[in-house]
Amino acid sequence: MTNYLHSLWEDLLGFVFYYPLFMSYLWMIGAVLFYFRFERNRPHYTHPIKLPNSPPVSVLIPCYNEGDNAEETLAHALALDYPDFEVIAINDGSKDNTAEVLERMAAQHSRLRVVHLAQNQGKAMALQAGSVLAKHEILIGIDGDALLDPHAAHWLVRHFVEDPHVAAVTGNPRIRNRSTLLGRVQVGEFSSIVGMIKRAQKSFGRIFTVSGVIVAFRKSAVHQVGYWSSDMLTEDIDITWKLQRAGWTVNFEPHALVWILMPETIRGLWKQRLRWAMGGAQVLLRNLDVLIRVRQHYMWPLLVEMLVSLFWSYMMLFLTLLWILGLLLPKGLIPVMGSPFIPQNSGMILGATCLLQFGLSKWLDSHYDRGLGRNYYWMIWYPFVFWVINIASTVVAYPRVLFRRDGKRARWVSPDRGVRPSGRVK
Amino acid sequence: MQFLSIKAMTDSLIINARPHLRWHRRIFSDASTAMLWGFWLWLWRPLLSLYGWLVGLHAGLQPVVLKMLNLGGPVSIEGSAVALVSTSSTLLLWSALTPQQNQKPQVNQLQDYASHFGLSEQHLLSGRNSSVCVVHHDEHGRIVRIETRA
Repeated sequence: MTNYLHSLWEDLLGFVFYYPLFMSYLWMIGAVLFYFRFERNRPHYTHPIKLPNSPPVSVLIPCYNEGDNAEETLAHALALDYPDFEVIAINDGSKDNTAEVLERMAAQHSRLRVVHLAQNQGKAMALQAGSVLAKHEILIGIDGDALLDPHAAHWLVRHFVEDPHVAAVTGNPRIRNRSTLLGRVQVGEFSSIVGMIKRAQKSFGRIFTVSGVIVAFRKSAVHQVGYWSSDMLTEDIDITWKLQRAGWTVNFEPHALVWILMPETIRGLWKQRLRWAMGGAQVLLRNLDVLIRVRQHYMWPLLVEMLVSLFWSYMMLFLTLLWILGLLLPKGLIPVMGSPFIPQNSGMILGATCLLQFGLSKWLDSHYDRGLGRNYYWMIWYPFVFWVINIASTVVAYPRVLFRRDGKRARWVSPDRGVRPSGRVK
Repeated sequence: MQFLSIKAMTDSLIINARPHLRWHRRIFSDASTAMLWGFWLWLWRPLLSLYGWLVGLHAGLQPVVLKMLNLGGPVSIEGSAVALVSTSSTLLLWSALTPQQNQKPQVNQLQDYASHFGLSEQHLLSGRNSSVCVVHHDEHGRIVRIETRA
């Protein structure tokens, strides 16, 4: 019995350390496969392949208290290099001067339309209202503070034309604010984690989530699956699963860029990551039934990965607490164990893996974002800080979601948008 | 010239207010990052030890490789490589098993949306043709009215 427990203990320690390493290499393999299959022979993102008959698109921009950002966001959206499009700004019951800014710009630009929601309803309902009132079949959704690249529409739309089974295409968010340590680490994170994972997931089957900050939809597909769920904290993860479970295809298009703002304070970052974790928890709990539906077997790898990652987060917390207790309590009370962070001499493997992953992602994303190399000096923080934030948010998220009232409308306020040249946080 | 214009376009979108941050924040982040790099390089000490051993003893390559492969931990390099390749291959095969959809998806018409939301086609069409409109929802989140303003 003692030997069994000891063996189980060693296996747990091994799992906690090696699982993220294993996943890192798996993502790298998948990302390289994606590059050679879908990216390598494509032209530069500034020279998209233009279709002879480009279908018209509707750009949906939900706005809540975006008075400071709306003008810049709309200006970029209206500057799309695309033959036929409209821009629909949806004012979701803003309390600042967003409505005035939108209506002023609508008076100046014939392609811009404004939809006011009489009361704040949340992003999901804002998108739904925008889609119902959109004239066109292809919708491109961006955030109220995101700057759309002029060439993005061509890159996104071709997927829908080439394959009638495509319901959504997610683009490639790039981070604008790089003033602080947090900002710079997130630049690397979006390349080496988010971008790499999307490539790998597409190579291996299904994508966990579109990036709500830039995603194109086929309106009929969204209508078929019942639109965005109003009670989900991450409506982008939810709609992705709805579409894929209904048999639709979701693609990733790295050439379709959007420039976004991310939080540069710990408080803002925590708030954002907690919402993401809670949203992920909601989706996991809502889609657990996939495991018993053989016809949706193609979703099993995603669900299994979510479950294993959840288990890993709680085990990491458990072993860390046990290790700390072992340092504080008299010897012999609990099993002797080393640090769960860097067991024995495997630190070299951890170091090599980090170097390889960051280097590979820099190479992949350097086609879209110049100067990424400078940010990789700061990426050394990622395993030490962001792992902690992600583990903590996962551990906190699940109990909160379990005790959250069913059907409660999901509304949230965006966290800080980073440091500006004044030195102040916006 | 094209490269420079692309870089210039990208650079204009990037916000780097670091020079405007307070000096103690900049020093703290610079110093702490340098320390972390020092710790990361410390993780590589086994490799440096091996290199020193190799140079010192002029040993053959095989025992060195064997020693590196068994640096520690319960999982061997060979086992990890086999696990990675088999997992990747399994996932690729698994995704290939997805049944192809046979039916071409239908594009919905105006009446489909009007019917779904319980709105008249006329109201919906007016909303789509308006420059500014207001959407009213009930307490359950259902759209109940579309009011056109311009």
